[in-house]
Amino acid sequence: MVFVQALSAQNFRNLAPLSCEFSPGLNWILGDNGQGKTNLLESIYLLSNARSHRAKNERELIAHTANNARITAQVLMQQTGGHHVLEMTWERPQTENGRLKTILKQNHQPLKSRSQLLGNCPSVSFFVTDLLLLRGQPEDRRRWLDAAAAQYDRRHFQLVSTFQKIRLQKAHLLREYLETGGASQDSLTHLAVWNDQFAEASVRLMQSRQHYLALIQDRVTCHYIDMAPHETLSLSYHSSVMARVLDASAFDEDAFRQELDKIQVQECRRGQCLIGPHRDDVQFFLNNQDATAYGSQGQQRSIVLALKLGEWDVLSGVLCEPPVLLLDDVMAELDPERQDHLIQRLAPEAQVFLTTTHIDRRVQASLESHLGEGQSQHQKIQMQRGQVQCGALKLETAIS
Amino acid sequence: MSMTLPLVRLIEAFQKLPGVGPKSAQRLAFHVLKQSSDDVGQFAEILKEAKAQIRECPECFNLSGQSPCEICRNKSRDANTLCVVAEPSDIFALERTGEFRGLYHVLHGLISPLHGIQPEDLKIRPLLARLGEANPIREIILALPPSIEGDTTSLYLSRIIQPLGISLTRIAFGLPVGGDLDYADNLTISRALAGRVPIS
Repeated sequence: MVFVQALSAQNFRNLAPLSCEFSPGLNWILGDNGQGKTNLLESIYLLSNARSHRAKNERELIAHTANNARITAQVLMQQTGGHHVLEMTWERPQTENGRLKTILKQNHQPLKSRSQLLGNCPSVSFFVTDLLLLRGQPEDRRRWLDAAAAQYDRRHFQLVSTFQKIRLQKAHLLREYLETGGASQDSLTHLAVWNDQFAEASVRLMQSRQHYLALIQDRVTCHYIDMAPHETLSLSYHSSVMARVLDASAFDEDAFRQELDKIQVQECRRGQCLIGPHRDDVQFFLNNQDATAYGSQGQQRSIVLALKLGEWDVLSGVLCEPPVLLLDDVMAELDPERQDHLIQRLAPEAQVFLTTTHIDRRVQASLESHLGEGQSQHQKIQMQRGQVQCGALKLETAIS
Repeated sequence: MSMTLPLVRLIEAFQKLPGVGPKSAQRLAFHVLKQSSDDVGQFAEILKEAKAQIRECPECFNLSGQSPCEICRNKSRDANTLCVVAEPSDIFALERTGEFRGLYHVLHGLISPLHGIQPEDLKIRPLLARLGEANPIREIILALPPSIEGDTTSLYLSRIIQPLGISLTRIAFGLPVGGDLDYADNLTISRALAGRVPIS
């Protein structure tokens, strides 16, 4: 199993300087709202994913009063015998327009890119906001897909960041055409070169996304049938470009490149990249009906749960050991049936982090009997104003 | 603590240099104050002279105290081959190898709309002028860095040079010599795989 042994944080969001050790089994993170539970979970998420799931700007991660923030974790991967010290540091720029400096280290050696951090602390995360995945924007679903695919294969992370860099460059060029009033013949050659790069990066990213969806599809469908035996769930990758190409099987880089040529005039006029993987979406169908539009709230929750379990299965399979599971406030939002469904399908030896404002006795009994067979493998971590108190607290105090 | 103004200005001046943070700037400033007036005067003179004398070569845009530069005026160099680089410092790197005997052309940057750098901001037009009629150039080697901007600039150049019928090549990317395959990052290894060559 993947085991986060210890974590320390300095000036990270509202967390007080802390260092704590975790249990290899179940770790309850308890506290009222705003005490730093999710921030603690986010720090593990960051070391696992190399990006925050919620910070729009990483400056948010540094405490208001500080100039830099640091998080460090010791991670043990039992199957590979890997023992890593992972560290992320953010330094506030000295000038207003300066860039935030991010330093990543593995075993005290600096890493050249974020993608190198991935794979050293594999995890599956389930945040309460994930429950809104189907109701949310396509952007949310793309972010979920890219993060999950990067956990499975860190090369996906590189594909995403390469594509983002190229898109940013192309978007700047198009905006400039818009502002200076159209493109000359010379500058169209310039755009053509960016389009070549754009097409290559787009197709590679789209293929990688589709590959990952195909991988989890079976597992997700199975988990959903377990919960609702009469409904069939299917996932599909919806691409704005592929929809334009009549014969989808003939879709490749050349076909994409031709579409870019066709839309070039429009792109110049609007000053935006109009087609590409940054406009794609994941669609969910229940018995061939669009679940985003027609699914009930209960159905949508089950879909997200099935999705997370599918992620879990596929990642466990490739690692040959269970990844870390991060559950943020999610149990309280699931009904007992779905709670049990989630708990029963976890590997008993997995390390689990679970935040909650109060311990639900039923969930506790179910979790503790399933994970580590109720041994002393459970730990309660009480959080108050960013401070941590480790150790086994009495249940009564935890509830009150 | 308040510092005397001339010292503050000196520290600030050092801090404008690339790679020099507040601490290093302070160290350099105190070092200068410890030096003799002659040494400091000489250093200032060298700075001024270098700035006054060094110009871009009108042929290749390398930096040089002579016009044209030492490489362009060297008759023993192969005028049939031209190596295109992004910065003058890249010429230093290539010259250190002693492998390349042709001439150079410095673009002074890479295409990057994000930073407001368009092809016309680079020395691409003078490059085309060098490739005009009666030129002896038979091969152009692109030695630009393996980044998105470097790739884009290479693609751009290939689009405008290819129609001229001049042989165009690009330096290979891959593993550092003496490096361990195990320590190379994924992207480097995939590029090295893509750029594999048959064993002759």
